[in-house]
Amino acid sequence: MITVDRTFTLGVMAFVLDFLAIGVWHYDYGWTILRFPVLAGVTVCLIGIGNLAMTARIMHAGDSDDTVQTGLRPAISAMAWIGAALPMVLLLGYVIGLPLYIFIYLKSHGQGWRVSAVLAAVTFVVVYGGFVTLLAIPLQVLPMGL
Amino acid sequence: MLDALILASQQFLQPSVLLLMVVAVPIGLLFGVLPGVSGLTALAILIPVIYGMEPVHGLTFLLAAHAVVTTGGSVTSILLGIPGSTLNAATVMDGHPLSRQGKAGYAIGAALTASALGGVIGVIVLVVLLPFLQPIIEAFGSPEVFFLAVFGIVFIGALGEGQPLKGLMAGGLGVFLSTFGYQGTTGVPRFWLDSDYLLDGFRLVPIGLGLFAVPQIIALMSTGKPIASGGQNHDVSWAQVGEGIKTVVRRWRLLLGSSAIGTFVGIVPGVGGDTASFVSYGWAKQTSKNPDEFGKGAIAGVIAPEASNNAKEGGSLVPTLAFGIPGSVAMAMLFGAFLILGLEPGPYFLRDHMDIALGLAFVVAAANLIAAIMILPAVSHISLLTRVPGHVLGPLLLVLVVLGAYASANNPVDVLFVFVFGALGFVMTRLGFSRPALMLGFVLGSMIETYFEISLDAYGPWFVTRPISALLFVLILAGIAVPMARQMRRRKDHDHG
Repeated sequence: MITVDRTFTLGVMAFVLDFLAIGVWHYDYGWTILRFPVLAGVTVCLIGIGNLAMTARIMHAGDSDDTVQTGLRPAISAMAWIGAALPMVLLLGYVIGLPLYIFIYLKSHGQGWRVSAVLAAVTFVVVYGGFVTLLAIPLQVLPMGL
Repeated sequence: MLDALILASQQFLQPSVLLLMVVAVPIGLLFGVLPGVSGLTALAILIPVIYGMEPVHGLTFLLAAHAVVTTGGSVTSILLGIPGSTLNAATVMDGHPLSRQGKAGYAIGAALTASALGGVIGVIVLVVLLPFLQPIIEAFGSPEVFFLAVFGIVFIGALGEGQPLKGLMAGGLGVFLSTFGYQGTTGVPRFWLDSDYLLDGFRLVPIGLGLFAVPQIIALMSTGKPIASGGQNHDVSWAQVGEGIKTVVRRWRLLLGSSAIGTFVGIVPGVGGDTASFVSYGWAKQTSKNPDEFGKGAIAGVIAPEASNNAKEGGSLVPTLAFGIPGSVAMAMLFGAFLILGLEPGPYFLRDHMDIALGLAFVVAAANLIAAIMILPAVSHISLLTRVPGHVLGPLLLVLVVLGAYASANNPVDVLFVFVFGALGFVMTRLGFSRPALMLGFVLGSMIETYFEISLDAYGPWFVTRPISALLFVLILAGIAVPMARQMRRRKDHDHG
């Protein structure tokens, strides 16, 4: 976990420094525009260095680094399923995509046809009846291009 | 003050407002019952619903739902030993042993009564304090507000999850993310990567949903298990409930003390509700004649944290309304809702909108009472929700999150950013980086920048030497140094032991 911790800390520092560099060289911001982001970004980096030093001490003390894989595979699988909702919604629209997502997810996770169909129908009612009709939210109703 | 009270009662006693409260309370209770789904998630999901509402209606809806989340959470804490939210964690210690002893009704009766009365007491303290806050507010100029906001982030970052550097880094990242988009004082867009979406910077709703709701959904979908498992007895006896209610009335000193602690902790920006319930629990144990009973089913161990949990909601409204500094992360989210509805909490809010401030206090009190009345008959049914398998509950919550993200601004890019911030929230959760600190940093970031720029222009770099500013600066340094020293001491003990 320490390695992941250090990677994340370095990633955050790189993110902040990248944007500050973009501000300086790409957008050519003046000091008035960049003053506060520089203050915030430098603070983040200084704290990040402190965190790296702290984790280096822990590594030096010999704490184990074997917890990183614990429970990670099911979490990644869950994240992949969650991520799959996005293309379904973008391609099929919210009104069809979300109930279909619920149906496919439930069916592929051991639920019966009846439970999957009923919950997909409930989702349809919530999306179309609740959000599109009742709250008049302009959700993409039809699949892309139709 | 009397005029404001009359105006508040005219606005907040309308049938439509009361009806919204009756609708919002069961929603809040539902979020409270679902363990890990916090009041913050509730606010994140419900904020899109208030778009286009009148300020009084929108704030009533959100605050009523949020104020009762811990009330709902007490039920699962007691019945199943699973805290509905982290705020209910202290209740588990004595509530669940009582449930195992077959006294679930007794504990639930006491918890709900303590929650309701604690919420009302917190509000009374708030209403008493509001008129006296004006002179204090006038002593706060731009430098002081700047330091107070930084103080809030430092406190929630450094004290939040026991890893001060990670909390502070998360808070700093939140502030940095708030600098994207148009700068407040010059109107120049920053770091927008030539994307129209980023011209307005990152949005509050996708960040809130991503950081708090998505990791919870990942947890549910990855295990597939129901939130609750095991074979506890869920039967709730009405005689026991009545006895629990009477016990709270008999232990009124404990109730008042715990509510006072909760209100005070709520007033201090950034300290958060988790602290309130544990401080109250500790106080109840220290002042008890039988401290050995705590942890084994002492009713005082249920009354103290529950009263304190709900009382802190009134308290945390004080800095939110009066200073524009949220007293907790949930209040930071509520702060965003104020802005969405066209109201700006801060030094002039009490002068211009005292009626709304008093009305909101009424909403917190009334919601707590309605919640207690509503939840009692439904306790046994509500507990069944926690038995819904994670593979069913998780995707259904995801649907709500996707819809909520889109509905906030009718922008599909917001949905994309929910997933981006969801991944960030998941990594932060696993590595122990404070998500509340990031959220608070993001919410307060633009305000911090504005007051920082004004302070520099008005007083130069020596604005830090103004008396109140200097005091706050010292407190910020202490807020960093003390948890750091404590962590290093713990590490040293660990190395030697």
